[in-house]
Amino acid sequence: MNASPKEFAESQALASARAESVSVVGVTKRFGSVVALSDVSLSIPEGSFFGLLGPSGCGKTTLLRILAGLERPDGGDVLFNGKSILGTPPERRPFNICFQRYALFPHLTVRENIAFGLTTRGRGRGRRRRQEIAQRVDDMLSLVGLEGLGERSPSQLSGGQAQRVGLSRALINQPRLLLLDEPLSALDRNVRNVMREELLRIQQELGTTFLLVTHDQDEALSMSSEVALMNQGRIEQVADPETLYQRPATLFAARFIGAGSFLAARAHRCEGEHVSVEVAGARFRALDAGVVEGSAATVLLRPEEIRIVTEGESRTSGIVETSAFLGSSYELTITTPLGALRLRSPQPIPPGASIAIGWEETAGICYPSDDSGGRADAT
Amino acid sequence: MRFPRPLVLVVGALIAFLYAPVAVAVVFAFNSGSTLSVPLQGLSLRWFRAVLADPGFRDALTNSLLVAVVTAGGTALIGTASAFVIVRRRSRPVAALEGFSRLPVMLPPLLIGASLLTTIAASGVALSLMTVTVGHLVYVIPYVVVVVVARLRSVDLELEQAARDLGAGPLETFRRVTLPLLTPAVLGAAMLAFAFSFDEILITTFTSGLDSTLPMFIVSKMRRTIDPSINAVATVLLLVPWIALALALVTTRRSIARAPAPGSAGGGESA
Repeated sequence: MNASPKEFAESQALASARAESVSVVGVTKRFGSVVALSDVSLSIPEGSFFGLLGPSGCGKTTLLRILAGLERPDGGDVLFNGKSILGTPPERRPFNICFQRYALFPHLTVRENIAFGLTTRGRGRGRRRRQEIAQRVDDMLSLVGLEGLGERSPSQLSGGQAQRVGLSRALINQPRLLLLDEPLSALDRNVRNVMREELLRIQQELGTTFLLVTHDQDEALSMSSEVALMNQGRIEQVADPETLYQRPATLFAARFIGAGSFLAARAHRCEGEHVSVEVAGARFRALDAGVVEGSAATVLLRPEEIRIVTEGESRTSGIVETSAFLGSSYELTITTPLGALRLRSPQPIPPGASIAIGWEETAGICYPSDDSGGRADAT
Repeated sequence: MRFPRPLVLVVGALIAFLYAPVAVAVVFAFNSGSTLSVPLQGLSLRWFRAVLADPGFRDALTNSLLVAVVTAGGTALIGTASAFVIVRRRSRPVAALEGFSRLPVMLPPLLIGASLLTTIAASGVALSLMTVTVGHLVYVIPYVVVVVVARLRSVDLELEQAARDLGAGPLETFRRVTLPLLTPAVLGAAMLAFAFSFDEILITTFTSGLDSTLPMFIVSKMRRTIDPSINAVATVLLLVPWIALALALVTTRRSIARAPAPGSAGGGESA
């Protein structure tokens, strides 16, 4: 089953105690009157594929730039191996960036771009050194599958090729942390899927810690071993992808990750992990995500938790509004007395049909209602 | 698309109107006769020999070259530095500075020359080639700043950040990334400054004192006599900027050969 919040806190503490980890402690950053980051703390375990997920403008790229040293935080600290690196300029940090729009040097060849990191601060001099660099560049070219393109200029590359060059340029210095700033969002859909697998393979092959900044939840959940979800300059939740999907800690997390139905409810009695709720007259229990007894609440039901049942064992029934073919199943939206619900069905059901549905007694998760959570809707 | 014939004729006439006098001047420079009238009397280099033998011409040419080279070099340095401040240190006062740096474009050279002379005289500095160069710098720097600023704006800041991230300090980043991307624009701007300075006469007249530049030499010579040696001088005046342009092209080519794919700033966004 899922890790409890306590277990999770422990695992995070363990991770930060490990050697060579990177931690962000209470970092705050303002741009004029806009707060980009407010009191953000995070620990990135060594060797992990760490996802930093959030809607655009949530501060994730600012956090990446602070890690790289391109931006200074207004408060808080960035630690590497337990020591502050805030005073270290970007060129002396053992972190490298793979840029969203590649940022390849247009006046240099592919080879020269990749070799750049090995030749800075006068480290490219001498014949032996140059041979060594050529060897390392060859290794990089074959790692990312670009053998034979070394003499090309960046303007002669496709998007996918350019991002591979950007990736090898960032990896050649063997960084302790690779910062990937939306590396796939400038690519076509097909290229993007290939590059996803490529990134995973390279991360496993090298064992380098990857920090993937993305607004794409599929990308974050499918690639990362751990994901930090950000919203409005704050961390909403840090968890493995399964936990993030199955037990989103906040209503924002629940809405942002995956699909689901959100029902306006009233919380009644909290009993241990669960709370009894009432949704439009129907009473059932749901996992308690910090609700106050007697207050307005919102219940999340994932589509796969809702089943079509026979009349006798149903919790409610509704009219099918839409039916969308997903390949292996159909996604239905139905209108019920409790609100709009979203569920999966193995066979097609025409719109207008009436069906009875049910779910496990405690399948839902109950959140305190926020301003936007008062209405019942399916997202 | 085919253009209607009358339009082609108009454009042809315009080009003839623009270039015919230049061609006439160059042709007469090689005329062996001593009057400026047709028919031509024969091909000869006698006017070039006469001009080259004239110490006044040689001094004027040397002075002009000296002033033009220093103006070109100086504007390249000052223009690049100013462009950096304007583009990379954005702030309200800097934006105001940028506005002021462009203003001299709208000042007539006559006014610049006269006010420079007043200022120079008031500060007790002797007029010399130095003051001429200062005058040329004042007039030409705004143009150079505009050219280099436009180019620097097109250089993606992310390229410089990428260089820093890969271990280059601020100076190395400038030398290895920013400067190579700026070089064509800076060279072009320096060429512009050279060409301007080489045939400038208004500001020069106010600020030159005893030294004569090539344009001043021509004007003073014309006041005395009109013979084909004027055309020989004009031909030289025509050739020098061309030679400078050719030199600049050759050097840029060489820097391009060392670093392929110039110009495409922003980093290969072709998909």
